[in-house]
Amino acid sequence: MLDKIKVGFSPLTDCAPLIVAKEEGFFAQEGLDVTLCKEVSWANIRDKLVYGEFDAAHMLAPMLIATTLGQSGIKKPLLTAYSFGLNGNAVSVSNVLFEAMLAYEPELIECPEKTASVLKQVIKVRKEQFKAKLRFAVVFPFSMHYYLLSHWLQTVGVDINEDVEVLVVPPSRVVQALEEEVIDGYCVGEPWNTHAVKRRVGVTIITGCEIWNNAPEKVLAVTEEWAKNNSDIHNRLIWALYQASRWIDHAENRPALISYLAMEEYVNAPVSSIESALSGQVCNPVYKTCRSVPNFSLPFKHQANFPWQSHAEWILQQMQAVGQISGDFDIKAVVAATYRTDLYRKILLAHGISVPSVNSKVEGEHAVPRVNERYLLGEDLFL
Amino acid sequence: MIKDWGEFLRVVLVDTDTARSALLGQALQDQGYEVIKRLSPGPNLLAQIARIMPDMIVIDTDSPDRDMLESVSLLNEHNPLPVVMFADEDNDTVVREAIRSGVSGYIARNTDPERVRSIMRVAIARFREYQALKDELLQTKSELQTNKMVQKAKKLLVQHKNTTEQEAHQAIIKMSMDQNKSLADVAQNIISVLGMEI
Repeated sequence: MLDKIKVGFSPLTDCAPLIVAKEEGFFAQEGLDVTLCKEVSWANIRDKLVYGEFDAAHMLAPMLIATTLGQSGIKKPLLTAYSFGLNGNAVSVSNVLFEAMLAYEPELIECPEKTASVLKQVIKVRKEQFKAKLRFAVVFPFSMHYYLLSHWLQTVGVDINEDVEVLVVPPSRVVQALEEEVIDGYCVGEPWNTHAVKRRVGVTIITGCEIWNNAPEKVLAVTEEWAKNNSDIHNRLIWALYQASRWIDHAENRPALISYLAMEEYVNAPVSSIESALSGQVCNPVYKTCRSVPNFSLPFKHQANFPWQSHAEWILQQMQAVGQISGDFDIKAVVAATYRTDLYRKILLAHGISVPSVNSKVEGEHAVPRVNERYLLGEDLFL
Repeated sequence: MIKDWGEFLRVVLVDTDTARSALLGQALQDQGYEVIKRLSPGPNLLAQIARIMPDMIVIDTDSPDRDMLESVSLLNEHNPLPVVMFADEDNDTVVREAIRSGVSGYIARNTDPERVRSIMRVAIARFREYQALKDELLQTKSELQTNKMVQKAKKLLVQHKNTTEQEAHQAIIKMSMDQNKSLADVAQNIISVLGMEI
């Protein structure tokens, strides 16, 4: 008898481990009959997880923390013991804004590190001309997209609350919103940056990993209560996902992965967009230039599935910095309760996989990959 | 008699399905609530809501724009503040049933919780009723379809196998029972085999 469970997901390329575990039989091997439920909004995913309609969910890492703190209406202790991977986001702008930016730096596509200062110039001129603030979209208020956008702007002293307008647009609608000039740019996951570029609606100017190298993104969220009552199922679920992530990392599985992701019941985006999204190429279709971003999205390498508590800590600091949470509370306690490195470690060790013995790593000090204990960890510099 | 306007809750409905939205709008009005506008989801939703300033928003959960609604309170302090109807003990059942029925409520200002709950109960009931109607319609359609197919299969059997209509009918029912297949499937098989020979 298989254990039946329901897992909610948002149709983005980083939900791949769920799809692969289902289609390649990793769930079945673990005695799990998993129904994958595609949702149109993060709010739906949160509500259905909190109210037990889902056993687990593919969730924005900051949403897990916000829900635990009761910051988004509903308060419920959630936890994660598995990360879906690192990086995967990018900032894209409309063709009009891109042209305006090119005036300051003709080689913009080659130098992502200059994008923020160039944007600052555009913002300054617009202000002098009494033009409306630039409007940027993110996918949810509690999201890495918002904090990465905020960090990127803040490196040149642009205040996300004052100098630009930020609004939420669902991932599946950002390309249309850019085309209809409802927004001037956005920070979103794939395939929606590539898709805009392919449709010649916008240009990707900087990727998430160039803002913070090897940043967290989505996690497998469960309620604390569910994890306590279903620890065996939780263990098997994570082990199946780990195997799926390892499968994804093998280059020879790429064609199969793309065809799974493209399926109507999953991401349902054109094969060509998914292909480019996974290849780590950032291109400017007008000038036919591309630059390679090899770590654009890491599903497995560099301990990508380890729920680093230092990631959760950074998220909480950002929530404070942008004014989403205030008051005194114990960051360390929230981090320890939500990011369960102990569970991840226990599950993997039981299968003979060795994992880091530390729960946190120093963020922002390493420009090249390094060996920590005996594990290779990626770069972690901030822009 | 002068109406006590303080009692009135101004409600906006956001629904991808305009027929359902009309049904719910009427039901709420019948119960004395003021439905100020029915909106379709889309990029301009926020601007419209900011203009209307409703007390409460009822939105169907098939709309991706739910996430947009959650942004207003969190990203911009100057706008009205809709927050998802929250789940304290009093609301628990209502919120749970709402999630199952595919509807969600946002509250934009301080409002009487009991009135909010009562609006959500009306919404849940209408969403369910509408779903039941849709299911029934689908069922009727599929029954009609089956009927048509069985008639066609019967005709083909009469033409090709030289049987009477009644014998053909019984043969189809027997096949359905023997092969443990639905009448529609059996009829479909007959049509695809015999229909080809024409």
